[in-house]
Amino acid sequence: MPMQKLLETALQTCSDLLPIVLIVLVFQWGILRSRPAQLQRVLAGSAYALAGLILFRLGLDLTLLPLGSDMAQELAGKQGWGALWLVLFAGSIGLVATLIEPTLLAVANRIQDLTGGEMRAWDLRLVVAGGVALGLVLGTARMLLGIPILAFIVPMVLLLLVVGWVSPKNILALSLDTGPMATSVVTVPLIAAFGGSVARTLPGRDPVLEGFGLIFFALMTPVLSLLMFAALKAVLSRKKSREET
Amino acid sequence: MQNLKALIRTLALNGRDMLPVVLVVVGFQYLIVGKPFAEPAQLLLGACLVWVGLTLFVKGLEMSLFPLGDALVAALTYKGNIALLAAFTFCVGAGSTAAEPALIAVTQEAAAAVLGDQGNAAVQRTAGILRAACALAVGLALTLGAFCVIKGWPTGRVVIIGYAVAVIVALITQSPLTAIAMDAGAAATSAINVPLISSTGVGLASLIKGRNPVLDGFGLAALCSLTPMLVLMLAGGLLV
Repeated sequence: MPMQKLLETALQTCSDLLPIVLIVLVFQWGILRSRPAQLQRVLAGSAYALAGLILFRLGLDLTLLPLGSDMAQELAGKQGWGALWLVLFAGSIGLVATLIEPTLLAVANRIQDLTGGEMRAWDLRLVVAGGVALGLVLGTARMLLGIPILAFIVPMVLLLLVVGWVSPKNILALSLDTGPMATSVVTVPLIAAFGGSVARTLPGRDPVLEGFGLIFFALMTPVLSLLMFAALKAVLSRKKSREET
Repeated sequence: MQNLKALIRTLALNGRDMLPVVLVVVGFQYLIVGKPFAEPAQLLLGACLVWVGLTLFVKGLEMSLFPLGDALVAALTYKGNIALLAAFTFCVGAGSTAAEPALIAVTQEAAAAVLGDQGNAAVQRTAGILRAACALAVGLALTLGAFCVIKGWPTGRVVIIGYAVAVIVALITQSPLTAIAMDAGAAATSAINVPLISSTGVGLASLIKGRNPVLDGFGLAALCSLTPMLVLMLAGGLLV
C-alpha cells in the first residue's frame, strides 16, 4: 500500500509543480536567454524541494490527516459539555500544525533575514500559530452551536478594517500575508478533513455546505492576532520610552 | 562537513517543532478518546517522512525557488519592459493556481453544491470553469500587486478594502456558496506559489529605488488569496 501511495503522491506533486517549472524555464531560457547563477545549486535545491514535498505529503496522508478526521468524529459524538473537548482539540491541533507549516517556516526565515533579525522567525510563527488556534476554536464553536457563518465573518472583517487602518503602516501588508502562508500544505487538508468530519457527525448538518468556512477563519485570525500584537507592542514601547524620558 | 553539521542542526530544530504535534495527538488519543492507535507502525513511518520531508523542502526552497525567483524578477526589471514583467507575474499566478490540488477539491465541492443532481459531467465542467476563473483572478492579482510595488501604492490597504467588498457581496447575495468561496481563497495560495509570490514582491521592492523590501514587498500573497474569493462569490451570487 505505501508503495502505491508513494507513486500517487509523487505523480501528483510533479504535476502540481509542472506549470511553475515550465514558466520559469520559458522566461529564463526563452526570453532572458540566460543561465541562472549557481545552476548546480539551484538544480540540487529543486530536487530537494521536490523530494521533500513528496515525502512530506505522504507522511501527512499516513498520519495527521486520517488522525485529525477520526479524532473529530470521535469527539463530535460526545454529548453536552463533552463537546468542549472537540473545541479544545481544534485549537491545539491548529496551534501545533501551523508550527510545522513549511511555507510559513521558509518565509518567516526570510523575513528574519530581511529585517536583520529584528523580527524573529520563531516569534512570528508562534503568534501566527496562536492565531490559527484561535480561529479554529471560534470556527468549531460556531459549527457546534449552529450560528450562521456571516455572524462571525462580518465582525472579523470590520475588526480587520479598524485594526488595519490604525496599525503602523510597516506591519499591515506583512501581517496580511501571514494568513495565506499559514493556510497551506498542512493546515488546508487537515482543516478540510476536520471540518467535513465534524459536519458529518453532528446531527442535522449539511456536510457539503456546513463543512466549509473553517479555513477562512484560520486565514483571518493570524492576521488579526499579528496586527493586534504589533499594536500592543507599539503602545508598550511608547509607554516605556515616555517613562524613560 | 560544514553542510552536514548545518543539516543536523536543521533536523534537530524541525524535530523540536514536530514534538508538540506528537504530544497533542498522543495526548488526545490516550487521555480523551481512551483507545490505542490502530496502526502505530504506519504512524511512526509517516511521522519520520514528515520530519525528513519538511527539512528537505524548506532547504530546497532556500536553494532554488527563492534565489531563482529573485534573479528572474531582477532580470525582468532591469530589462525595463513592463509588459514582460506583467506577463511573468500573470503566468506565475495563473499557472500555479490552475494545478493547485486543494483548489481542485474545493471547486468540485462548490460545483456539486450549485448543480445538485445534474450529473457528473456537468459538475466537472462547472468545476473547471470555476477553477479557470480563480486562476485568472490570481494571475491578475499578482500583476496588480507588482504594479502596487512599482508605483508605491499601499498593497495592504488595497487588500483590506477588498475584504470589505467581499463581505458586502456576501451580505447582498446571501449565497450558500459564501463559505466555500472563502475557503477556496485560502486554498488557492499554497506551498508552491507562495514562495514565488513573495519573491516577486520582495525582489521588486529591493530593486526599485525608494522601496523597502519589508515595507513594500509584502501583501501580494494576501491579494492572491482575496481575488479567487471574490470571483467565486460573484459566481455563486449569479448562479444560485
